[in-house]
Amino acid sequence: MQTEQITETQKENKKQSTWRTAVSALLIFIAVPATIYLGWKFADRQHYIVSLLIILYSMVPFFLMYEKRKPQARELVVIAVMCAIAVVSRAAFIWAPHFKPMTAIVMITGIAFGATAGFLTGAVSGFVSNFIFGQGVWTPWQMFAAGIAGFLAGILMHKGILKKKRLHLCIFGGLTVMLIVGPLLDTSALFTMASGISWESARLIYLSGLPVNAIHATATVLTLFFFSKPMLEKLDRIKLKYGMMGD
Amino acid sequence: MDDAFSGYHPAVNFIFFIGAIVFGMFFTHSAFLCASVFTSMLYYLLLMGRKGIKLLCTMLMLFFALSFINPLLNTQGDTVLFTYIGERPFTLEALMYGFVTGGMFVSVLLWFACYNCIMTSDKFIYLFGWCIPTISLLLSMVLRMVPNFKVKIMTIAGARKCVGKAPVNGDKKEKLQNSMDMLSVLTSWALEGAVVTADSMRSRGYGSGKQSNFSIYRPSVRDMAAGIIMLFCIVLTIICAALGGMEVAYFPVFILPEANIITILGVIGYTAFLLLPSIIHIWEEATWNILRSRI
Repeated sequence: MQTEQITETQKENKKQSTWRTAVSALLIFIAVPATIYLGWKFADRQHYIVSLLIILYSMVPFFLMYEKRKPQARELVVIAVMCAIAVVSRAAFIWAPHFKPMTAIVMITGIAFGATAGFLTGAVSGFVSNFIFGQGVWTPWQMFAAGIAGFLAGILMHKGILKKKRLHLCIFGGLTVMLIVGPLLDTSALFTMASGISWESARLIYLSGLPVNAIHATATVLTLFFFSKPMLEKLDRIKLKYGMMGD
Repeated sequence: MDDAFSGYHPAVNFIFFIGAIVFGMFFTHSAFLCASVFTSMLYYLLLMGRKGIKLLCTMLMLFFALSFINPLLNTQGDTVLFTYIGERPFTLEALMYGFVTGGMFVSVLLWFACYNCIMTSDKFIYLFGWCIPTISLLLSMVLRMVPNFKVKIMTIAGARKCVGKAPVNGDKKEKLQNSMDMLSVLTSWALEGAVVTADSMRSRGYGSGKQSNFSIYRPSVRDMAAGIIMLFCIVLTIICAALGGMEVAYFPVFILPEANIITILGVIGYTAFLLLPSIIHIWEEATWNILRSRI
């Protein structure tokens, strides 16, 4: 009776997982070219909507990958906690305007729990913080940018390029924000506000984004400097004590 | 928030906003753009009342700023209005295109502002729970934890204040250290709670069967009717777009073709679609007032 039930669930799981792989493949190989084609053909300001849709599509495989893994309750709740901490972390720094430690916390999660969990934490934190500050065209971009920060941290850690040393983490954090996260957010501004993509408009937007990115990078580096060691110790201890995320 | 449209089925709400936002990003034809800008303003005002005027003023300023920056960056176009520093032309066409950019930006922003009022997080989770059960569970947990952790942060700050280590004490470096310590305390506290929650979830059978979703919505005849009207309008708009009823050229010369029957039908369909929530809202208010005046 019980074994029957188990095979039933397994069958169900398998059916669902093939369904999800099919959706990912469909998105990447058909939806992206189709969107570019339709945008180029019909819309006058194609880059606006096409870029937004492509960013959305590119997040779907990550989410489906996570769904496929069927995470344990402990893993799920710990990730939820990390997302919530990333979202509220701003509240601890009310005295410092524009100080956003969110990206740093997402990176720490990526380092501790791997690339997929890092991406998920970043994307979900971006999404939830926009429930507080208001959703907009920027939401998918912010989700993707924060997610990529967590993903990169996880991947580089896994490959052994990044070490759990304070200096390494600070350099990685600063560079990632300056070169990847910040420019991604600037690109969203470029696509939504500029009427045409020209060298001039791009230069204007990226240059005006520089100070904001510098502040963001400073906040990330400072958070990683002060916070990475105690945080990673805590997360490692939790992993060891309760045997979580053993992959 | 007593808006009649938000009482409709979440799918109806979501389809409307997806339609309004996607179309709003697509259409550069003046008539369609104006329809989007004015209907979004109307609905936003209906939702927010007097409080909404402030944002509308900001939007207006943003609109003009974006419109007038475009000709400075973009020198295409044949009709030169004037030249400045070193014979750089300021063209009428670029200015027109600037208006398009500004209008598009403002209308999409306003639709998102309305979206934030109508599509609350529970509706979103209800709509997407069936295809991403794990992530929607994650989302609802995070949405619960955020206010909870804010309270925790206040508690920690209060306790630390007694020993002179509140995040506002000391010089810059001490402040930073104090804030980081606070986050560290929060993490320990929250992770401890997380394990308890997870064990409780497990013992109640999480992961042992098919996951069901939170659901308090049931489609009614009213929702179906609104959905069908919306779909009809969307189809009309798309047909108009496909038949080239929205063709307009900005460069090198601004050409707005004479309105033919396709364009007119498209504009009517599009405007009706965008006006739907406003009409529902006004209809409900009017009915309410009439009913009350009879008492």
